[in-house]
Amino acid sequence: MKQYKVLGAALTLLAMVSMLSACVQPAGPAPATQPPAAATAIPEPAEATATPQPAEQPAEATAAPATEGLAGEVVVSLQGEDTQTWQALCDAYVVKNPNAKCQVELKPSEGYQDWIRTQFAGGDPRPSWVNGNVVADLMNAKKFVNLEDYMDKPNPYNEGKKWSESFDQDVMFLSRDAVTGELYHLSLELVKIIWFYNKDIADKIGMETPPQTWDELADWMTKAREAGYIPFSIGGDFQEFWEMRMGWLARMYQDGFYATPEKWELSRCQPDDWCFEKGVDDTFPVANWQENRHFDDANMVHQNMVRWLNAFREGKIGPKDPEYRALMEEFKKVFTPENLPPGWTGVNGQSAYALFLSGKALFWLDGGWMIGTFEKDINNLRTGKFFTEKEGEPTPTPDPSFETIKPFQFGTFDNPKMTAAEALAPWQRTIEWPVGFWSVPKKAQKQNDLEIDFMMFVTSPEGYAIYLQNKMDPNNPKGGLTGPFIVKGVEMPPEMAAKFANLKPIGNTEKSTAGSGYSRGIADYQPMVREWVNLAQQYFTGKIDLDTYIAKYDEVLRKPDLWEGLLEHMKLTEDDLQTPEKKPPER
Amino acid sequence: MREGRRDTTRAFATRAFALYRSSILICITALIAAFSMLLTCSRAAAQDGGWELPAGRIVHSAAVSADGQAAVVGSREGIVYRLDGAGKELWRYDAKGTVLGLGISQDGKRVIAASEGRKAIFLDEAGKLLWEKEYDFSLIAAAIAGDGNLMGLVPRKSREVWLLDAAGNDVWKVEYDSAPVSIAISADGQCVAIGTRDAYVQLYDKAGTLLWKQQLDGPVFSLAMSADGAFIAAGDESKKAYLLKGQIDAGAKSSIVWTYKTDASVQAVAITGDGSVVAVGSRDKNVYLFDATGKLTSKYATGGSVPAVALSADGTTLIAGSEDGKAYGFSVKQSVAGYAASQQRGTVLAIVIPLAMLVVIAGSVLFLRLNPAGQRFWDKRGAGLRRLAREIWRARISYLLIFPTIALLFIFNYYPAFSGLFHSFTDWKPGVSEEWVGLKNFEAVFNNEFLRSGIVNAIVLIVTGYIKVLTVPLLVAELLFHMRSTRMQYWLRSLFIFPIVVPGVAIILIWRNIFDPNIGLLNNFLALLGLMHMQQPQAWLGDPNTAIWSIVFIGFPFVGAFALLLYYGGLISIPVELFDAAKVDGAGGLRRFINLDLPLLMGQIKLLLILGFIGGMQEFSLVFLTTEGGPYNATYTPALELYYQAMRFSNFGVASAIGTVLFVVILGGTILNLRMRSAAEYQA
Repeated sequence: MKQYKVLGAALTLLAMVSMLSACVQPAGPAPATQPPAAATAIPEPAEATATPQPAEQPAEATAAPATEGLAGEVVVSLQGEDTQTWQALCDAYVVKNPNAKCQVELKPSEGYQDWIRTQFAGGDPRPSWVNGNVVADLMNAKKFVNLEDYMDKPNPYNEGKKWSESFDQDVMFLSRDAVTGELYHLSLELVKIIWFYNKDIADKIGMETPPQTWDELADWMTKAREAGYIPFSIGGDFQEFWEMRMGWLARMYQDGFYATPEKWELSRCQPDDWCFEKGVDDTFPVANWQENRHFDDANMVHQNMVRWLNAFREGKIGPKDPEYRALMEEFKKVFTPENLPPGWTGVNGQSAYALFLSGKALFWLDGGWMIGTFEKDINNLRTGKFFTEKEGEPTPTPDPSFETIKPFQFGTFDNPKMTAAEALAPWQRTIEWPVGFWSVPKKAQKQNDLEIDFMMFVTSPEGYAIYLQNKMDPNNPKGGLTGPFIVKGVEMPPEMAAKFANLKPIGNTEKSTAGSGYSRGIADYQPMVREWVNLAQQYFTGKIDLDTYIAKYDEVLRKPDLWEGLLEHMKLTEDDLQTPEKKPPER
Repeated sequence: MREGRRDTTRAFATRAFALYRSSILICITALIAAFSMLLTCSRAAAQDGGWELPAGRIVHSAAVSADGQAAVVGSREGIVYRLDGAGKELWRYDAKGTVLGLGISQDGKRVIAASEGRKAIFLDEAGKLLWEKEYDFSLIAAAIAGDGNLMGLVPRKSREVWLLDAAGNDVWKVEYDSAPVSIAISADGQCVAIGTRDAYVQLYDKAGTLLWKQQLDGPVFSLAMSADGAFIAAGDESKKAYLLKGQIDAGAKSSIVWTYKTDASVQAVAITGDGSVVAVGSRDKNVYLFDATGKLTSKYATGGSVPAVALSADGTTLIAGSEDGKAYGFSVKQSVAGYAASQQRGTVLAIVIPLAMLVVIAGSVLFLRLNPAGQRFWDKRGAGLRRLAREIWRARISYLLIFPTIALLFIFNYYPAFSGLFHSFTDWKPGVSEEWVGLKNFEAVFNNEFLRSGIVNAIVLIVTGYIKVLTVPLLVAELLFHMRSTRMQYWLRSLFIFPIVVPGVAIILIWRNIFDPNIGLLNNFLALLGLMHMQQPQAWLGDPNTAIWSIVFIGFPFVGAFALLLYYGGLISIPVELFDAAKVDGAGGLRRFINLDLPLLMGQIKLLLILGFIGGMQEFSLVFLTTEGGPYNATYTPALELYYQAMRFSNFGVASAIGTVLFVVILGGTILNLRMRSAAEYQA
């Protein structure tokens, strides 16, 4: 009897479950019998912000009303520790936008990349501002807002002028995609790679003016060596080749051999190409291009990277070029064991810097940002303090002999030009790049609008003045500028203007002529860069000769698995290479 | 009477068993049927009665006449295909540029094509060119009114949208502060909707007067309008499809009727003349159909993302273009019916399978309770289970308290491990994409020359690690153990242990500086002894011949505190009687060490060997902080390669595969090590 009751109960339960299952509907959108509870947008009925006219009378754009009442939360999660500057900006912003909140949550650089990835992996990311450059693949996947979509919008914090008018566009073009003009990060401080030299040593060896050519550079190195100094203090370890100075030199100097209209013909957009822009590409090159170091900037010519890849594959450009051979031969004039720190391949960047700071070396290569910190570093070294406080970087034990260090005057100069016959570009440019890399992760449109509004505020004269004031505050230990800025309407403090006087733009090499060509792998594809590091170290240490280096490097760049990975990295397929005139599909 | 009752019981048991057997048969039948249906209903029946036409590499655009009897599709190769209602090609036109936008008049007699080759092309129903206009910009979208007398074009890299008449003359244009990307014109030609990258849909009358604008959640990639402009379908980059009202009711805060979120950005939308059906093409490779209320009525998977959809005004025909190079044609009615049928099947399965499982469970319970064989089975085999259940229940508080630890262990240890195992079979870019690639990553791992050289270095590190751990710490432990002064023993023991608190990274960095050719302690010390010329110092970490050995040398004099503690602990746990017995037998120091200490320290040695093997195979920080694998890849290790694959190359799938391979190797090595005889065996 009891068993019957159990069975009966089980069957009843079963029946109930069946009825419930039958009621389950497949997931779908909510039926729209009424508008959604939370309106996704508020329309502005019958309010014309741009009134179209018949074609005979083109419309005149009118300025949008000031954005008051933007609501939401802005979270600043850049790398670094300069909370003072960002908090000051946040405080000023919320005064203008009382409905908005602004949080400063800066992050250490250690693990920053992992942290960003975690934000995206978890759905809509919470941070408003991050440094997008550390996650290039996410940037390529367009996970960040295309700031170009906002550039023509009025900036309510700058008298309603177009936002693009807040910046020096010539420099801003360096941050844009060279073909599409898309802009995924805002970088406002210009840095460039320059040479430093010890003026005391220069005086001793009779170097009154810095070298203008590579041969002059080599000559002065010889004289410095004869006087008992290290001619060129540069590291030779893996990191220096992969990420630092040796890599920079490779990226810069190839430009001097390839930055000509003839070489550009291999890869520039042709008249039938999707990227060909009338008024730009049909006027390239400008007359007297030799006098214009910016003749091949992104606003002067558009590149079709598919054409470049085809040219490379067909052997029209590559390590077997006489130009490339000449470049590597020129490098060898300077990179001899006698010109470099003893035990060069075991010297890392910081040890090399220590040698320069301690007055033992004539030349040093670094970014313009060093100008501001150089004096501090010499004093710290002399007094025995650890001379670098960059987070995550080691601090070497000071050598006791540093106690006798005398501070010295230093000078700077731009890249001396290689004068080999094959170096057809009339000048030598440098890596010249705005930094900052403020990117906005994509999320709901309204939220992104708020985050860009904050960006407009920061880049307005008022906002940037607050930024500068805090960056230059002597009581702000984490402040400091890295270079001249491109924001208009704001004056550089005189002391910084004097320091950055030598940092005038001289033209950028981060193009397919060098940096994004095949100077270190192709288009900076990292597995290929690693291969280049391996071969370059062997070449510069004399383990392999030039012919072997060229043959192996060429072979590496054409390895099928690396080529396949490169195409995947660039979101291209073999089919795309067959139709260079067409825009590759979005992938 | 008793026999009667027994007979009744037996009869009931027999019936129950029969019931159980039948239920088993029913379940098996149901399960087979369910799986069969699952296999066959994996795709909606939308393909029933449809057609497919290969049309180049990618079909970028599509348009269809009001009655569905005339359609045009545009391909990446720049061809405009004209098709009849059955999908048969009637003619083709070479637009000499990828056809990114297409429009067709309601009667099918006029076609406007927007080409990437900077041309707008106007054709008649026979494919004859009526006119062609060239522009300075590539054209990315086109639309046409029902009567063909008004058409719109959207150029790339321009902030303008152009409206033209049937002769190609400009009628009006509008300029934006954010790039326009999509356009739609109502069939009656009275309304024009334009979508921009700043997420706005803007509605104009035919004269170009702005009526309203509505912000969506992302750049508006696609628009479509019903015949009279009463409804507007929109799709944006934030993966959403929308239905908007063409006329906003007074007091309404939004024109949005409904939204639907797909799995990827919406590239194409279409709508019938009366707005009762909306079609959506998404980058998630699906074509969706919705009714007027936003209910999903059909879903069809193509072979690639769907940049083009078109619906006939009468709602009979759906055309879709895919990145798989095909144009698809469906009957809307059949597609909806097929999808509904497949959904019903799914619902039935959702009932049948749980039902079947319940029946199996009920049947099993009945069998175990009623059938003597079942009862015997339960008594015999279930005893252990019942005992376990009783024990657990008795100690339920303890289990409850330990549960958080176990849960955290699963979440932070086991889950990542299994996640890594799974992702080693995928092309994984966190936050971007994840695609199953099978064994491709393992192929890459086994063909990786850096990994191969890394394994050699790992073996070197393991072997040298064994030497380091089996010599100096053991010697020091023996010396400490046999010290006569307990006070000295205490202090020396402490001095040897204190360095364990120094972070390993700090030690490595200090050694890196010791090895510096110019300012490093080692070279300067050797120079002091006359063994080094500072003009030509040895680059310990920069010379491929010495780099790996310099890394091995880090930690000199190799008095590892952990190993020392283990050995010392082992020594003090040896019974004193054994030492006395050895002394009595006349065993000297060396004999005692070999025959007594070593065998009884086997447990510790085994542990250190296992840990040394694991540590050697996983060695990363030592190499990364000193040489980063250089010079000339001379110091690569497998863990370093794993790091580079993940953090520098963003190949997380390959990195996971390396991790899986390392796990297997370490597991195998550990098992081998465990087979060594332990101290307990020696003691026995």
